Amino acid sequence: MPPIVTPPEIERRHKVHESDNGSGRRPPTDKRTGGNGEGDSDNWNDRPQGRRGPRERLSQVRMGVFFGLFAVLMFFIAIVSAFFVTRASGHFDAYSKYVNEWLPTTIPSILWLNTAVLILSSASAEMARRSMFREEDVMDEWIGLSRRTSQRATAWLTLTLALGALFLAGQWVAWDQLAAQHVFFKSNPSSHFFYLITVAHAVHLFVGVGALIAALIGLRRSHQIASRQIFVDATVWYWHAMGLLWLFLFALLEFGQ
Amino acid sequence: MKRQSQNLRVSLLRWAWLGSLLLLGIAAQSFGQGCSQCLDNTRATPPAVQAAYRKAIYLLGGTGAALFVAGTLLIRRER
Repeated sequence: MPPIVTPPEIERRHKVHESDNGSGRRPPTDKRTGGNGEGDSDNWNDRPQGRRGPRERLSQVRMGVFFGLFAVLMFFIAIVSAFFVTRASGHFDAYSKYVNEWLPTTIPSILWLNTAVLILSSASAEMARRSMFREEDVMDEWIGLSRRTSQRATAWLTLTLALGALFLAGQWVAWDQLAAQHVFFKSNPSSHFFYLITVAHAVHLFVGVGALIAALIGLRRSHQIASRQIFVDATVWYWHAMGLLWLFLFALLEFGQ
Repeated sequence: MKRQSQNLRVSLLRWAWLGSLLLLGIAAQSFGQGCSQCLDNTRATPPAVQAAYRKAIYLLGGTGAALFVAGTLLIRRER
């Protein structure tokens, strides 16, 4: 994992000291330079919770994303559990014979291509995330010498967005191919689960596409580098989770029927 | 000295918890007996379906437990 560097935002003093009329009569009372040996106020960890700087903000947002993803994971695990039970279940017909109606759905081969596209998109998203935390570039950007981190991240995120859109288009083609074979949502318990799983995942990925667009807007509009890092980091973690989830769901559909 | 006794108390408390859980786990009451209707339903369910239910229970329970542990570790790390 690369070193994570997040420079602190400087608290600028807007207020002039009460007794200072601006004529330069008195020296400033706040002489802290922020350098070493200036007392314990330089250590972010000694500050009260909620005021420990950008690193704390990043951690809090990450925690929020992770706990949100836990809920998404449980939702999909519930669907997968129902998949296993339905696959094994059946009913007794008029002759008291136990009938299992499950007919495996032939998975369109385009899903293999879609999976490769999603893996590539995850790789490009990770490049965007890493570029936001590259030490030298972050320092340059913080000082105001360049906006290299944001520019690189924008390029990688745009690529991720394009690949994500390509994946969704590929999923649409897969549903179209199945419909051409007269395999619909209600055709069979197996096709029912195929549509349920792929559509639910596509909806979640669509939310990810929205998050990518929001992150791209944030990269252009936000003035704080810490906020830009948070936008990209949170979006990329969500994207990775959707990629991993798809690998699991795809393996289930391809080999678990 | 005070710290040592505190550590000992924490350790004893931990073992007491583990012991209690173990005793609860091996108690006859912890194994589901079920009512007669449930028992009839279970007997009428084919073994393959029973196995599928079992698999689903393990999957849901395992994931829930794993997420609980992961969440607890995350919170502990961040504090």
